[in-house]
Amino acid sequence: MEFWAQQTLNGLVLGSVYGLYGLGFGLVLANLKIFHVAHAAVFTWGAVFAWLLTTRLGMPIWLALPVVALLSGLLNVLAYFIVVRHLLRRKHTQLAAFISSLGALMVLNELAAKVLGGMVERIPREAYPVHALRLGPLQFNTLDITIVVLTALLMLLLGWLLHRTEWGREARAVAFNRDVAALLGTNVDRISVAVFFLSGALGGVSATLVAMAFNVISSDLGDTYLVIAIAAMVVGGFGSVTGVLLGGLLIGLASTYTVAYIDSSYRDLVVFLLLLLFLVVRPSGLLKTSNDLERV
Amino acid sequence: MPKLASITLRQCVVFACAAALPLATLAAEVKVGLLGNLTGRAAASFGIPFKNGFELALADIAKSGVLAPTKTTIEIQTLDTNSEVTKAVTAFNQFAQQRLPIVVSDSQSPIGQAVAPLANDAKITFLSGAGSQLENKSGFAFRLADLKTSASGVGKYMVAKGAKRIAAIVATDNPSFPTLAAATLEGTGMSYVTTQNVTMKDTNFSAVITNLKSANIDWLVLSVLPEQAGNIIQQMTDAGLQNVQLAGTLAISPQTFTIAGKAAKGLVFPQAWAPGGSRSAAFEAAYKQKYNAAPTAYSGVGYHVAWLIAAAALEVEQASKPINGDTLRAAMPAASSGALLKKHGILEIALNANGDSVSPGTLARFADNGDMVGTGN
Repeated sequence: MEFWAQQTLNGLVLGSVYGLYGLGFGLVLANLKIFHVAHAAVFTWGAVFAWLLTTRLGMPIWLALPVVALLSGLLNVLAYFIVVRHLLRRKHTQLAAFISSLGALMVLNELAAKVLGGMVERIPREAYPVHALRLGPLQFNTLDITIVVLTALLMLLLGWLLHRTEWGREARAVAFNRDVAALLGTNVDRISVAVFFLSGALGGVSATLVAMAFNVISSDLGDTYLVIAIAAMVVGGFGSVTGVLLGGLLIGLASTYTVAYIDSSYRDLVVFLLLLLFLVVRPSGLLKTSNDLERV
Repeated sequence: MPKLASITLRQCVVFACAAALPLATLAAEVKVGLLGNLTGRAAASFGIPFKNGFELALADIAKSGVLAPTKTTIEIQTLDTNSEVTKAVTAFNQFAQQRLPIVVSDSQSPIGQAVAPLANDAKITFLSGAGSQLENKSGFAFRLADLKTSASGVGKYMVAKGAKRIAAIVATDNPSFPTLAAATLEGTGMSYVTTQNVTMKDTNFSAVITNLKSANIDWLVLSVLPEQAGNIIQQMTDAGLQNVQLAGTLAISPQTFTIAGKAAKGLVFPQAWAPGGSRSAAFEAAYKQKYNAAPTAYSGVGYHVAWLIAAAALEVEQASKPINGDTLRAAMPAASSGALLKKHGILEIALNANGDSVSPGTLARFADNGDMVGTGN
């Protein structure tokens, strides 16, 4: 029981990171129906920004984190203008934008490799002191709590933004039908810019958490988690904030339980079997989005 | 008309001299291709220290004048593999197109295993830092790392220190690491209480660490990349798993200490070479002066390998044979334990005609400042 509880906690922490990454990725997909794979590079750059701010400018992580969110958000907005926006009025938008985004992914990854000097780097431990904590049989640390709490807060904030504000209503209208939303007076371009900014900011924050928790920053950091983020979206339901987070948590738990009870070499196999299972049995994911319900 | 004829004759003489010159130079020039892991995951631990050591040795070889009687020179051509197999193969093919007689790879079994068959086909002598078995149908591939002898020594060390319950974390996507873990186990004469398999790209070890905690172990063998080892030690500390003795493999480098900090201080690990020996004092001093950093085991291997190539080239030249992949290959085993290496080399690596190496290695640990120090054979 003690072992199970500890592994469950491990899975929840890991799943929170997956969910947060998936949220940023899913926002763009829900809003523009575009598979913006360059999000993986924006994620990588989030970690690179965090590394630069903490090592070069000596910032503590609590100060660096909002700056990372801002810079990553702006980088994703730049990606929107350069890579996506001009393709929105063309034929086969989704395929063209995917290919264009793939190109941006490669360019940004290569630039990250140049900045990192081809090395694997890390955020210095002095930037975020970690303290071990104990609750009954459970052992965790301040970083674990930071990850779970920050993920929950960001999810609540995003949920509120999307469902309780005028901007959120407009964003959902654009997600449902971009042309109709434009006819009804919504500035769809402004909404898309904001969505890309939010998506990038979430990616930057989650990348910083990954860099802190797993002690690694490399030019392919985002690529490593991209497939997991896609799996989280498939399992949770495309376009659903809660769904993606649930998907991330489920995958985090499945991954951790596999290591705990089967063998670590089966971890990826189990995760992707879960993905296949959802695609076959429940392609809409755990939670249907409001768009799906309206269409129904 | 006579003037024209005279110019033509002069031109002919000049052309003939010019054409003959490169031939004369080529006869005594050993062009070495270095497949350097100069960027990517293997750069800091293996590729860069190896290249530094190799280049330092080339300067020392030139200074020593040992190749002067045969007018032999060694020239290095380096291509960055980005620590990736595909780029290493492409780089090797470039070397093969230039017909280089010898190619060196600093580390990584997957690179060694991909390049070795090509080297055998192209009849290019291939010296690889790989520890795993290489395909070697024509005998052109040599591996520089002797995994078994040193790893087995660590196993014996653990038993001598009273190890009762030993576990291992093994990166299974690099064939060297399972081999190293198995060889370490062989030295203990025991079985692992648990073996946790990971991949070289894994970064989160929370579930693995919880498994280790529940297995109630007293020793842990880290058969993973050096940075990953540091990361695991760091995460073990964060998770409160600290009362476990740590043992590493040949792959451990100062990068492990850079990441794990003082938590890595108790780690013991085998190395092909470690600072502190009287035989390598001059090398250590020169390395520190040139690169402003302490040499690592891979710096030592790089330095030794350059001298090995010089020794093999000297043997070929003294036997009045042409320098090519075939003659260098044939000269390697004798050169590896010859007089020149005994005088100028800093490691004990004996190569045999099958391409395997035997090296006793040394046991090392980290000093307070993160430098490696030897603790005995």
